[in-house]
Amino acid sequence: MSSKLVITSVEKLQDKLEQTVRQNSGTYCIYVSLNKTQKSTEEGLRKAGISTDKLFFIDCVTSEKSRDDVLHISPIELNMLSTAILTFIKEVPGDKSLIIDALSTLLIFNNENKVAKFVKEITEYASQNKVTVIAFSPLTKGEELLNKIFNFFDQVDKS
Amino acid sequence: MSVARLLYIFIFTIIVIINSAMAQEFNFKVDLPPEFHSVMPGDKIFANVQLSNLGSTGRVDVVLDYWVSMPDNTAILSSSETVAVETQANFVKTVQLPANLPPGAYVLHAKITSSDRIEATAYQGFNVGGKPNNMTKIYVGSAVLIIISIISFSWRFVGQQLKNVWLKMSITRIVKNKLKSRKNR
Repeated sequence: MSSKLVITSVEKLQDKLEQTVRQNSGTYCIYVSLNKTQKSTEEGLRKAGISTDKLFFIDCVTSEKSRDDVLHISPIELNMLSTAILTFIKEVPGDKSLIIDALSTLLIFNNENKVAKFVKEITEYASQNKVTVIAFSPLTKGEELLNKIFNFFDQVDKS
Repeated sequence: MSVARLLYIFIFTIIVIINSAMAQEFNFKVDLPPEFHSVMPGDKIFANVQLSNLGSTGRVDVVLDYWVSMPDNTAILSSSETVAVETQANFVKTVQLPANLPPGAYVLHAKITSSDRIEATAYQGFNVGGKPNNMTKIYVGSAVLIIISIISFSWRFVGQQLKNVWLKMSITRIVKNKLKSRKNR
């Protein structure tokens, strides 16, 4: 169980995401979608032949509730998002992973320090509960934030 | 008794009657409306002064004296004015109380003196209450602000707690339903 920050170009981001979900498809996965709607993310994964049966979506893009099994949280409410992630970690049984797509989007709605605090809280809790965390961020965005948070992750994959 | 003596007695009697009629006391009243029975230092009070039975047939000048006395009868402010009146008159007298007047029972006095030196007095009591000083205002203001802040904070805190409870319940339901649907497949 580890935490990883994946910093990659926008072009490679989708491939990296699909690759990560595929690698973790054997376990339950909490997917925090900050860049795309849950619908669009799920469609993209299905097109790539990845099953979404074991995914729990937290959609931070749309507030309109279309499905009962999807949680909608505004990216402004970092506390709520943090509570939701921690509750999912607690409630979902067995091995699980947490995917955050993409961390830098939080900077549009919150200041760097708040986001850094959020990341620290999540990675710490995940580590205590043996949850794999994989956070993505486009290479071009939020360099200062990335400098502040990379220490909270066990690995940083910059490609 | 001679006719001249009788005439003298008659004229004397008439003069005495006329004089006694002239010397009759005024009806003089000072009335403070109920809203001025209890006032604050620095307030203005308005008194109704009623004057009747002046005994004169024409217009005469009278001197009106006003003063406010403390419980020990010390006058704290006074004023005087001359007004022209006929058989009766009504005035409204405005009295500005000093801002530093100590709380207590006070009396508003009025005295009327006609040109014939005939006098009449009237009075009415009123109370002066303690006005909140600046420190009291600051304490009250601070207390109100603190109460508002506590209510506002509690409201936000309770609201946040309710949101969290709702969120946790939703997540429990989502997880339970997903696990159940996977088991049924």
